[in-house]
Amino acid sequence: MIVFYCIVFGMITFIGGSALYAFYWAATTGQFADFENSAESIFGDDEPLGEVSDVYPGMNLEEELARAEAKRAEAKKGNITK
Amino acid sequence: MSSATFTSEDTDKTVVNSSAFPSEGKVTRQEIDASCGIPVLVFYTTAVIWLLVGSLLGFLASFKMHDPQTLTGLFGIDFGWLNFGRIRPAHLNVVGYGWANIAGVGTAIWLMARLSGTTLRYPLLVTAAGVLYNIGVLSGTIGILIGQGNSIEWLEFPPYATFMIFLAYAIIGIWAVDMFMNRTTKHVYVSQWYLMAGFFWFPWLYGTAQILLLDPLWSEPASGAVQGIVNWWYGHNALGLWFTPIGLATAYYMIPKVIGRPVHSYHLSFIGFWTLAFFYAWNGAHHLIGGPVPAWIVTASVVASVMMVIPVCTVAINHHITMKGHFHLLKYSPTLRFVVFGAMAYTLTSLQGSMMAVPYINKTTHFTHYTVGHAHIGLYGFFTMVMFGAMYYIVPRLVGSEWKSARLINIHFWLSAAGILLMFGVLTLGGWIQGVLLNDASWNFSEITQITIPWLRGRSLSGAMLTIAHLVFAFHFMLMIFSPVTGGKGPMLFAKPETK
Repeated sequence: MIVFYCIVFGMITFIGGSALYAFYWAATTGQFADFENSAESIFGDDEPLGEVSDVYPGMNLEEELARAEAKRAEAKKGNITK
Repeated sequence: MSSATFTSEDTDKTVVNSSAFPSEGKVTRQEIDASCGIPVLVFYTTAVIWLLVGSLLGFLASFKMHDPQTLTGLFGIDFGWLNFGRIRPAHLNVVGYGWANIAGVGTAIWLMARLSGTTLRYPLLVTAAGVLYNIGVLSGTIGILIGQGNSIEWLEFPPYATFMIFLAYAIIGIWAVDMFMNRTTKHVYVSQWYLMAGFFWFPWLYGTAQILLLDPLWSEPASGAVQGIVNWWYGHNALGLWFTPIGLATAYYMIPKVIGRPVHSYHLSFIGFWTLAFFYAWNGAHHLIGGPVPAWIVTASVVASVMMVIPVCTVAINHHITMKGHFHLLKYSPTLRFVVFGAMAYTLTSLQGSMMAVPYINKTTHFTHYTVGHAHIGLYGFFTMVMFGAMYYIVPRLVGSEWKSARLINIHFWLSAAGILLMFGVLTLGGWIQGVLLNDASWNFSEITQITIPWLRGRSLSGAMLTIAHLVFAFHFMLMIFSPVTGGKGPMLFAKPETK
């Protein structure tokens, strides 16, 4: 049983310690410092902020959105005339 | 190790904010994607094959629940290897270690490369780890089917298979640390936190469980009540400290990326990460409510399970508010559709899980099909759907070609979504009825079993829908791999930067 306890408590210490170290590292290297810019770090020149980066194959998003907008406007107009 | 990345020189008229990857002297995303091509496609291709095998095994196991005579033998030849007792663990391990793990690691490799801002390091090593892992899963599955499986849930693979699997995890884990150390980005994005934690946690979980339960190294495996505790410590943490981090890392990357808007609250995303890390490891013992284990372990686990409401709500609120005003895009983006479905299923399954850990509810749901419904909305509704979404985003960028058919994507989505919702519905309702009746001493066991049969047939129907969905997806995926590159334009293939 002694080996069992050694593994269990050794692991608790190791994992707990590493989590504490990760938190310390993050706090001291400025990972929690600039949240606004950090959230935008996944965007760039080639996949810029504000642009949709995935659509169905062969679909032109701008056309689709314009069509949906026109449809909405028409429905609204229909409601008013009713 | 790291270099400054948020420099004002990187901005141009169209890009409001700075870039993580300055254009001069640094690798572009296109180069990163190209470097990931072969390893990630090896992982994805084998994952899709395992998905088909796992679906068929699951469908057959489900069918045998209401028609036990199915495929027990043919022409006097006994199909012992297709017994329910073997194909059920084979299904679990194939979809868990085969499909979900391999697709998850494939996605994680691509995400690690992108978030580290470097081309993939040691692609050959990563590919070799993938091949070794697949040999492990193949030999383990055959081992279960020929009757060499262990009787410990989630660890049924025989030792010769687990050794290869552990080695492959270890290689990928070390590779991930190397990628992290060599990143060119200054900030560690929240997805990378989840990924690094997952890569760190899982080999530890897997290795420890193997040593304590299956004893490859020493002669004192845990037995009795301790065996149950260690088993569920592993079984539940494999879901929460491995699949959940990879699924959430993907969702935290894909949702903002597709809609072109950063995560609404980056604060919340970090609170979600650290509370997950703190509470999840305690959850496993809620499987042992009412069992012969020390009460404090179960109580601590119930408390931690309910505390999981915090990380789950932070993720759910964050994703919802990020999507606010962009829900119409679900109509136009396959990736977004799958990932948002997955994110919603994550909220549902997690809150349901917290509820099921409360002893008052657990006394009805425990040992019923209700739990099976919960497991499927988690590993399928959440994780698998997020992986499908990720693959719809990543594969075109790796092969340089758009998906061939919008219709096939639609069929895949609707069959998968309807199939999993049907499965969740019938198992939840049927399981609850089963649980209520089991607690009523005036009912005998065989009557209750009869009552569950229509619900189990419903489950088989949903399994058939999912299997067809997977066949459609596999066909489409193979078209992407084997058909010649057609090129094309659109946001999938970096056509935009040239026009700026």
